[in-house]
Amino acid sequence: MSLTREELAGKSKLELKTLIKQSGLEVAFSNMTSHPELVEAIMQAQEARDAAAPPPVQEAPPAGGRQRGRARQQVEVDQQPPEEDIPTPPNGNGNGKARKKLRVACGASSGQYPVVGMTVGSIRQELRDILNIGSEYMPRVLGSQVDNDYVLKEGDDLEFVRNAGDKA
Amino acid sequence: MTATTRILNIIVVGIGGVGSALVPKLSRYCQFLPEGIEVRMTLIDGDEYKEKNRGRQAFHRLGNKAEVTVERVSSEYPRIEYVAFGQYLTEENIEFLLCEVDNDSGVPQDTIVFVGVDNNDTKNVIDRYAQGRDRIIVICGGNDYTDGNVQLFVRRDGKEVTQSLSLVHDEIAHPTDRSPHKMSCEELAAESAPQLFFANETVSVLMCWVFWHVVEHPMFLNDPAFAELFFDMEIGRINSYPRHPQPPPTKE
Repeated sequence: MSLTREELAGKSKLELKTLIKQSGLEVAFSNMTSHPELVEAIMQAQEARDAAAPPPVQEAPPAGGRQRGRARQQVEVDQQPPEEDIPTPPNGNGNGKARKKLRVACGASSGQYPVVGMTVGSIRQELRDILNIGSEYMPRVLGSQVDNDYVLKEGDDLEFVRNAGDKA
Repeated sequence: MTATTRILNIIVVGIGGVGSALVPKLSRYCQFLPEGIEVRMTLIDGDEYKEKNRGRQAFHRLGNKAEVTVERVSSEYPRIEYVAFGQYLTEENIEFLLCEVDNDSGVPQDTIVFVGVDNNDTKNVIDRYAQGRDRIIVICGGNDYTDGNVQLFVRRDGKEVTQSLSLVHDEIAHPTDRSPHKMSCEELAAESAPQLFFANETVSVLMCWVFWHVVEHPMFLNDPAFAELFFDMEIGRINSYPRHPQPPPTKE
């Protein structure tokens, strides 16, 4: 999956370097490589990789009726993931209606995402790189702690509680 | 002479990168508060300023951080009654250090504890103490290299107005680090992770945001619009979160 320039810009240098290692992108960098240089290098590597890849097989529209290529309604532009990357919810909510968006937040990162009907665990997986969600960050809905199997419903507000800064 | 109408009992625990940036800001603001507000400010830290601290901390001589900082600010802000306590806060001395000012006249008093320490163990001690108080305000801040948070905990009339530090943050509820008074000399001398002066400054400013509400907007403490702030310099954002005590949502 390729990330947009905005999504890359929202990550720290450490996270960008981790992304490079995990994705296998051919990007050369050193400790002196600046954040904008890293973002640019990853964008170029993604474009090179995508250009070399075979053309995608045409797929039927998903059961949920979401259309590829339609304008994204970005509430918080810099944090919005590509909608086609959100999986169909497990409990059949994708029955022709567009899923409602909820606020999902982690530390200083947040955005509105179509996650009604999805479990907290699947949202954690899906938005891990977008919102920098650590594996140990506790999920909370409307301020109260929930489990990974909690299913988001309309009116919910999900936060993965980022660890408190522990240096001073 | 104006009669005292309110007492601000301010306690700053940890006079490092955050605390040493915070104290002058709080002092300047308090110096020019309306007459009638009595301000006492207690600084607590067992650590010493060293040359290696100059990149992030302001001091005019080497020595105990609490004592040197009081020396530095007391002449500039004469209205404030400063107290320097040159030891680390522990479970044994917390009752003495965070107690209320003697106040026989019944003047309203706010005890406001600023926590700028670099370990969760001490935060845990303060949080447990605060949960047992009838009336207290804790403003706790910390940072990593380019991001950080500030959390507010309020108890009024024996009830929690916001969720405690440890209820929100499991790493404070179950700290894996240790307070400096439990460390060996070698551990204390070990180099800590690098920090950015601007991140320390940001934490101290966000703590002042909360303090400003506490002082100027009494209703804020009854129902704070936010009780935790996260900032991230890399993505240029600050997010705020309410931390109201409430029952967990029901599962479907």
